[in-house]
Amino acid sequence: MIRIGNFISVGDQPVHGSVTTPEACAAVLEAFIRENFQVPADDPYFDENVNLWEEGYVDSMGVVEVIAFLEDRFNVNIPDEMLFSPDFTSIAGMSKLIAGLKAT
Amino acid sequence: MIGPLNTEIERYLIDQERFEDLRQQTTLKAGRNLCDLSYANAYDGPLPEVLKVIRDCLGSGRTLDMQYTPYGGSTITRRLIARQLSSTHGERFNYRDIVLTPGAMAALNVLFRVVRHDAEPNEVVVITPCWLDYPLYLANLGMTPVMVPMAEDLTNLDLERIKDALGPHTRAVVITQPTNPTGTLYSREQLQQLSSVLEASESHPLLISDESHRDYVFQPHSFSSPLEFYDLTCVVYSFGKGLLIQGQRIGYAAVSPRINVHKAVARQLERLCRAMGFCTPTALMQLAVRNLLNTKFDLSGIVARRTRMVDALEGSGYQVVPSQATFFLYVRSPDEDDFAFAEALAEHFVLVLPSSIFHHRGYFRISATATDEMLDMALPVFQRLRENCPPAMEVHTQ
Repeated sequence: MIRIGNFISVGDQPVHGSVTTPEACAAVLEAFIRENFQVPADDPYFDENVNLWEEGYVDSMGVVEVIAFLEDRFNVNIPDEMLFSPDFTSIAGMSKLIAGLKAT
Repeated sequence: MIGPLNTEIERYLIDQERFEDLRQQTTLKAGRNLCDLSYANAYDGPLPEVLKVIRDCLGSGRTLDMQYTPYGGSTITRRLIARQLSSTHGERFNYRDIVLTPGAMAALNVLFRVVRHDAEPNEVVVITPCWLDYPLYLANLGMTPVMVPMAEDLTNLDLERIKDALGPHTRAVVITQPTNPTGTLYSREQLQQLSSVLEASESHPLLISDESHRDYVFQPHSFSSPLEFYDLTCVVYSFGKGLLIQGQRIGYAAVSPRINVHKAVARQLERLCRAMGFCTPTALMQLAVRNLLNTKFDLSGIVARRTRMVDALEGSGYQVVPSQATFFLYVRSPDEDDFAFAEALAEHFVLVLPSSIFHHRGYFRISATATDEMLDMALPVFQRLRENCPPAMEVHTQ
């Protein structure tokens, strides 16, 4: 288990290597968000495409935690412009961006 | 040095402060023999599992969990409440539609303020008997409470009188569902009729539905929110009642998604929490309630105590308003001066709330949140005072 500062648990060891599929990334990210931001298993409004910020799944402090999780777990540096991408609002969008970073 | 309160505020405080004096004196005199049936303080305390959740939250290791939260409250808590309301109230709430407040009192204040139009008359229709401080808050905000009595049976709304009370400056109508102090539940038909009256009115007022006691509705009855029936509705809720942690002061105002400007209303409520100094509930309670939303309430103890109280009071000749919900029973006072009767009971260390507190005359309210031991002492006192009530003071029933 890895801890970032005094934030929250971010799960398993970093993923090394250059190949990460969007689907694999999405599964890991979804599990992280469900666990750390109290998303009930039966939440009918939660899916890979929901806007995590607009729908309140991740709070303002949580944005920092999600970024840290993605960078540590997938061993990438997320460029600033990517943080403002419309894709960087949902699990599916973020997973696509992370997979793209891993492929470059 | 001390600026005076306006005369309306002073007027509304007279009965409330008179009761506080009575309560203080009686508590001092009675000591451990006090039978406190007045406020809904749960003498048996909250459920152990509720206290455990609160304790566990203190162990949260997340950075900033005990620090400031945004106006409107913690996003995650708001989202979980929004999800719960979406399942119970038939509308899809976004987290921003929920504005967390330090108890229902603050929620009421920001809702009253949000409909106030400066430099114009501002009227709010209040159904009476009502929770004690609605008129006080309105007076403090420079608004005018327009008191409309319930129907004589104290069970139904008097729709004709509500219709007559609505005018061009009516900003809101505030009702309690289920009602406090009477413990009654408005039927779906009543709420539909109320909606029709409001929709037909010139001013299209906001309906403020105070649902602080909705967790205490007894079988076979079920709760219906006014929000189902009227688009322009905001819900007020207090976690304190349901979880029996009244002093922890956490509640919310929920803005119906059917209000076409619901985002703007909710945003203004957040800003008013700041401007009026209410800020947010404590960070600890915001953490706790998100983990208590699925608490199952065992109402059997309250039901048993209410049944015992009704049987004893009716057996002694009291008239108890038939009720289906809340901790409370609303009882006709044998003395038309309800305050005098409350004072007579207090002589025997029994505290009840006289109906003057609720802007109504001739009744008193008792709460089933006292202990069984308190009831053991209090019920014979009720019987004795009823027997001793002089014939001249008998209430003429209608």
